[in-house]
Amino acid sequence: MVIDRRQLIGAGLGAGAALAFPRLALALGKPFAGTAINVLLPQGAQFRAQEKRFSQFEALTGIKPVYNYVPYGQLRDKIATEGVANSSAFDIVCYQDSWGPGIAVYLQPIDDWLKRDGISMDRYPQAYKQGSQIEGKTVGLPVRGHPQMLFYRRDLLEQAGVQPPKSWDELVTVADAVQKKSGISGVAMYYGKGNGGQNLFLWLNHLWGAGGDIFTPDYRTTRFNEPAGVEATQRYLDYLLKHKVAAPGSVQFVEADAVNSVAQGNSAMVMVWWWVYPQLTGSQSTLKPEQVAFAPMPRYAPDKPASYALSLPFAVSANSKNKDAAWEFMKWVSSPELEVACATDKSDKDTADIVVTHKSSFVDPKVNEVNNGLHRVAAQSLEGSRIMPQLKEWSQIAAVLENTISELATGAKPVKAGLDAAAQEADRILRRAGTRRG
Amino acid sequence: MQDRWLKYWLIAPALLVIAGTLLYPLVSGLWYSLHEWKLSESPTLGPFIGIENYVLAVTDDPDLLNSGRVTLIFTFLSVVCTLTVAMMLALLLAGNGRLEVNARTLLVIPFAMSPALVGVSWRFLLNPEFGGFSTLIGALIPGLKGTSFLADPTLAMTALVICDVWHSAPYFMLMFIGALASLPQETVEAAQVDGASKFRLFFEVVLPQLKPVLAIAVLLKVIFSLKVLDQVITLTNGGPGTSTETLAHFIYQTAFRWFDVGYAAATAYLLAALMAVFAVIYFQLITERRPA
Repeated sequence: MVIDRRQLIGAGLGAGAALAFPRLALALGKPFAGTAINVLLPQGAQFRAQEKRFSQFEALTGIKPVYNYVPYGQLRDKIATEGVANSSAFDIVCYQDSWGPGIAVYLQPIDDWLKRDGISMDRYPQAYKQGSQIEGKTVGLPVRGHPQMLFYRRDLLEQAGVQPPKSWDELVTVADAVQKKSGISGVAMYYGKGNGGQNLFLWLNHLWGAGGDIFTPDYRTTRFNEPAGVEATQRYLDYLLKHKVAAPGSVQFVEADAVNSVAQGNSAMVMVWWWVYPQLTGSQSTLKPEQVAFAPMPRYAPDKPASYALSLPFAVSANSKNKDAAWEFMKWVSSPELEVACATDKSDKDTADIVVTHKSSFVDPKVNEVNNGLHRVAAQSLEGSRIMPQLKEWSQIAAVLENTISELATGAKPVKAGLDAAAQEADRILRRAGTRRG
Repeated sequence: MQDRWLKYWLIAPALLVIAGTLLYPLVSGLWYSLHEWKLSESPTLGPFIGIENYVLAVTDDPDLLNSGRVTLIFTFLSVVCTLTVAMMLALLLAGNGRLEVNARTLLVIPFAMSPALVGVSWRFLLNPEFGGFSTLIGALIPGLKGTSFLADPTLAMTALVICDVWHSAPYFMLMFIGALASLPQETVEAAQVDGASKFRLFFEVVLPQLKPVLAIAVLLKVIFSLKVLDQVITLTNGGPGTSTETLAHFIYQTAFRWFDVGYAAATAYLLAALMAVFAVIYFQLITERRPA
């Protein structure tokens, strides 16, 4: 038997990949060899890192994955338009969990595959697991996910003689101390109207932490204007309006502005998704890596963890003509081995990312060693984390709340009046949806 | 016989293109507006509900009403400001000297930029911490240092209008320069010989002769302003609150964020109706005033 060089390399890659990914339950005998799998997804270093490793998957299965990037702002439009057009151009789509109920009709439930291949969703933190399920059915695997974290200027906090805040009350005292000592803003908030309800991210932490909620559990009635909601909203806005420890620009900032404010040395703290860590410490930042430290998200009280977490699951498109082959890729791309390999590879800054989604990866010693212990701290932020309401009308109601927060942050209206008006509007949306559904 | 039909054959391709790109979307849009169609429920057209979407829009949607109000305010301000600035620039740069030619070339650049890019750029420029305009304004008027322009409803609308004027005035400036060049010089020279001041020369000789071009400019600018979207999304995203949420932004959100295509089609038709009504009334007015 003669083996040519190409076959030898292929066999070598296959063997290497099999060793690297021992628990994938991939179909035997490469039944989908030659199939191309098109994936629709946003840009991200994590995805480019996966692309670099496609040869391993191709060696194992013969399937050729292709990543098709679109700007994040257009991703939802693209998923919907492809779905409406009955297009099979994309076999897998990456979506934000809060869009799930709105695009569920375009996604393929994967519970049977999960059961067949022995993949448990319990390998993910609760919030990510919930974000991949819609009305009791699992439709996605959370390949990308984000806990919120507190990033702070280590040098400035040390200078002021304070520790990173553990509670919302401490946030005020710490921010105030830093502001007085250094002259720069204590914390960069983002109350402005951005893309996708960004000013709700931290508001939700406050609301849930205070014991409030957006809806009753049956999603029939709004609750955010109850006393707990009013108190939480007031507290959330008072960093700017009353305590004046938030950067003045926070009133119009969106998330990126707040990050820039810290990166440019104008604010001492910011609470954002963990993926901005490389931004704050990278070449675009005016800060040196040793100046930036991180901590779990502040809470109402030590025993009241409450934060919003977001995930971006990969899902098989309901219109795909290669669903089985797509599922093979889903298993590979969502494997803990791959994400650990990507999160620990810092050899190329274009593909260096910190994102992992499996519980095991958050506590993986190598992942933590390479990323300065970021993941262990992130796991603490994920404790008690929740996701946005799983409701088809959520985008519309989120827009109402986003408008309200941006308006309330200007101080133009009392919080109670603003929330009451928003509740009235949200109830109108729910009523209308209910009426039209009959 | 051949000659009789030839003209129709010759224009048929153009008619087909117009039918495919204009009539089909218009008719299908109208058809969608008479159905309940939520993309979150189904990728296919839902049940026929007659004019229910229109009734809901008119009777049960304060947001739509607000967007209509915002659109009218924006349209009025942007039309007046854009055409005034464009006319002033045209008068300044109508000559053929090197300075005028170079200035005209430079001034066309904003119009050549994508409206979305214009909005993003202005958002950065107005950032209270590191925005160029914010820094400049703060240096000129210390009291305004660090002002969050996009956080105040009035200032946000002002910023949106200024951004739109900056973007679209060059187009109308070129239009007016062309019109000024085509004016019969005898009338201007006669007025000058009679000793008319520059002010009177412009308002009593030049402007009346520019009326036909001005009429078209107003109509075009009103239509552009009524459907403004890109800058709204990228500069203010309709905020703070809903203070800069225009009708086009509302329709975009309804269709592509809330996936309520039937309702979005109905509101889009209401916007189209608004533009049509304006166009008809406007043309009635300007044609009635023309001497027989």
